[in-house]
Amino acid sequence: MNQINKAQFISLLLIEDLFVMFCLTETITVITAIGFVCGIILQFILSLPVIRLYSKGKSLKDCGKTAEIVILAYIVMWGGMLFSMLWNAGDIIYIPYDSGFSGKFMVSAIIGILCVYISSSGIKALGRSAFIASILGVICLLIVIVSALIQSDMRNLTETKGKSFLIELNRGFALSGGLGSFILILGFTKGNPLRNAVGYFAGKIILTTVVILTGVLVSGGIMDITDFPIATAAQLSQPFPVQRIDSLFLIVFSVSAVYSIAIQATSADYLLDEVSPMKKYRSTLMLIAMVITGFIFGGKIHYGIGFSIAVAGVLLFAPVSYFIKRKLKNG
Amino acid sequence: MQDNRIISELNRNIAEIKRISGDSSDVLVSEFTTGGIKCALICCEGMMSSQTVTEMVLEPITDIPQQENPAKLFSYITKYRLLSTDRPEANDYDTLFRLLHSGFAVLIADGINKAIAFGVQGYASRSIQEPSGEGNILGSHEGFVETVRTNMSMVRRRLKTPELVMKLMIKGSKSRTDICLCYMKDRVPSELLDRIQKSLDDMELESILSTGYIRPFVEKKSFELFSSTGLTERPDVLCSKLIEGRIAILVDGVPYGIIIPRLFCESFQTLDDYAYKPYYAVFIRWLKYGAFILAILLPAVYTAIVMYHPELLNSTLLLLLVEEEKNAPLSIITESFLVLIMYEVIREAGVRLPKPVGGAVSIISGLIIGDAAVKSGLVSTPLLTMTALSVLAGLVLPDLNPQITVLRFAFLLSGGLLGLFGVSILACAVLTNICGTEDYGFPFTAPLSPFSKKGMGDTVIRQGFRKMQSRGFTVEDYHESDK
Repeated sequence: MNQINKAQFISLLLIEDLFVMFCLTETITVITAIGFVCGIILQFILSLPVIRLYSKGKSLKDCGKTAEIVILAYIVMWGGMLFSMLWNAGDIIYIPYDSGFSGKFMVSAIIGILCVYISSSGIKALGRSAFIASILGVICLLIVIVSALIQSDMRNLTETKGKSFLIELNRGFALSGGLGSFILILGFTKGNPLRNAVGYFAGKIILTTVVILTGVLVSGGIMDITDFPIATAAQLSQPFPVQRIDSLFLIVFSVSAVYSIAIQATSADYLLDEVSPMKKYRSTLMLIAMVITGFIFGGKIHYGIGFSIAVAGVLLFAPVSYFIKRKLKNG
Repeated sequence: MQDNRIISELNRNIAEIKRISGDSSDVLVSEFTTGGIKCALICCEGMMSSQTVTEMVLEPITDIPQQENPAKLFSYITKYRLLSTDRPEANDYDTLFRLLHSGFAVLIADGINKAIAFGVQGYASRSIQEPSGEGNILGSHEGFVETVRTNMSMVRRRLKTPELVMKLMIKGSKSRTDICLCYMKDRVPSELLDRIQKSLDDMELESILSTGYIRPFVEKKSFELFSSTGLTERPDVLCSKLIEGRIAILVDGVPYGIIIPRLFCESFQTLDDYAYKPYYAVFIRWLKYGAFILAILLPAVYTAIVMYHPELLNSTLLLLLVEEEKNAPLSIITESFLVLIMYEVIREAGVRLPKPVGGAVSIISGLIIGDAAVKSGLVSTPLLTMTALSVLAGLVLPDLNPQITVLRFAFLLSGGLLGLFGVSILACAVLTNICGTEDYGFPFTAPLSPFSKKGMGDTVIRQGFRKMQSRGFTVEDYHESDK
């Protein structure tokens, strides 16, 4: 895999996190923001062993094929989850054609085909385009946030009718399924791995806090009847009295969906190349696997403790297997 | 041509030359005796100057004292007769014919198996004129012509430094076209030079009749929407690129120079930017960025908004559009598609027809057909306005016209079928394609992605010239290693 730079690495992963936030379901409060931030810090702590491994000049290859297979399986599972999120969120964003099965299938198929093309262009092209897309995304997001703040109600900040801190911590930790790609792409990012990882997690904390707080400020009052609080907040944010800007959200949503799935497809493509003799149609096969996994999830998004354990397991698996491999080698 | 070496016996030599040339009428053979040895001067009609041949070659050459043998005759000519500064020798017929067809006068003699050629080129060629496609207000008004040597002289006149290297080579097994590789030896990245040289060496072509014959060989094989090599018909632009460490290829018979590598941001830069005050140059540059977006997206976004996202419009505008569109017999996407196709047909007709007729076609189609289409209700006025604006915006960037034309249609289809979702999805694909364009390790999207703060001084803004000169920029600054 070719190398990308720090800014591209951060952009790639943050776009994915943004998409996950858009698809966030259930009630959110200030406790959610705190829980999510703590969840991210926990993710950073758990990723320290793999960062240390890369800092020593080692790569994922040195951890053995088992580690690569585990991460590949996790990436496919997360890709399926992303398709699942896209499927669910299809109801709230306006895409021409009916919002029934055929319409949703068509949208998923178009995004899938596009992801095959993007992943065939390689990580360099994906990283560069993600960086430009993230600049445009930030501009669009700022417009949405500024418009949201006009509609905001400060009293929503004191609303605590949500879940407990521990549940939110678990949800925040589990939601970051993109850590499979994080482990892989960090190894192909120029510069100091620790600085790259710190940059990503810091960016993620800022993005999560800003987006969730905006969602709470705008959707707080109608949280009980809202399926997707962040998406609803964007829809309620209208800067002009006679015009609506929902379509701006649609653009940001579509672009982030494409890049989120494309990162998984590119990562899976690379890992499949490493662990199998397949030379052709790898990304197509991986995307089909993701879609099937998405169907298995049946449109349900899992934030449970089981998924958190999977995230933690993936973060620790590579360094642990490297450690075991070295021990066995040294007798 | 089994034994390629020149025959020493004059009559057989002349017969062989006639046989190889197929007794072509433009090969002129003048036999004469000088220094007591029978000789022949061979020229290609139309490729040399008759006056120069008579004054500089024939007159001095026929006035040579008696010589012992043809070798001494050739030696005498070389030592005592400065007939032209360019005097290559030919030992085989391949070289002889190459020189002959390049406008040299070739002297052969009885009893010697080699020939001497004299540079007396004098073929008719277009004089230096103002470039037709790269207009400039405050800069030079000279453009490249079809003669490679004239083009080389125009470059040399602007860069009078020994660091500028111009290497001539011959390519094309049939056309034997002169191509010239130009670079500044102190600025060009050595890896780039080696790789381009190798690409040119590996290039196997029968003929080179335009830059389009060479460009695919110096670009990546994969599908790229935008070309990673640039073209210019201005010697001043070419020189500015050479100073930045790029490589240029001049082709004989083509009034354009190929520049390698080229960046996307350069499509928005002109030499005038550096002649104006920076604030005005920045304004013009952003105008071009805006024009590019409008040229590609305006019809698509208009169609998508009117068909699927009317909430983006305020009520007054919405009512106005509804009023106009409800009278149109065709759907908006069909209407847009037809108007754009009509424009492309008119444009193509205007380009291919003789200039006076081309102008008439534009007037008839633009004014009469356009007006009739609106009045008859076939096309709505807002749609025609949007299309015209988009087309006009595209004309700001003639360099990108092929890409703009195709992308405009593609975005129109995606916007018309899937609304802004379709436009976003296609934008992702196009963006990835542009970002994937990279040749010789130079990303097409630099300095935006990969980001270079230094590069922003001539991309997002246009810094003052003092600052720009002090930054010491060469294209090597944007190089990214493959691994």
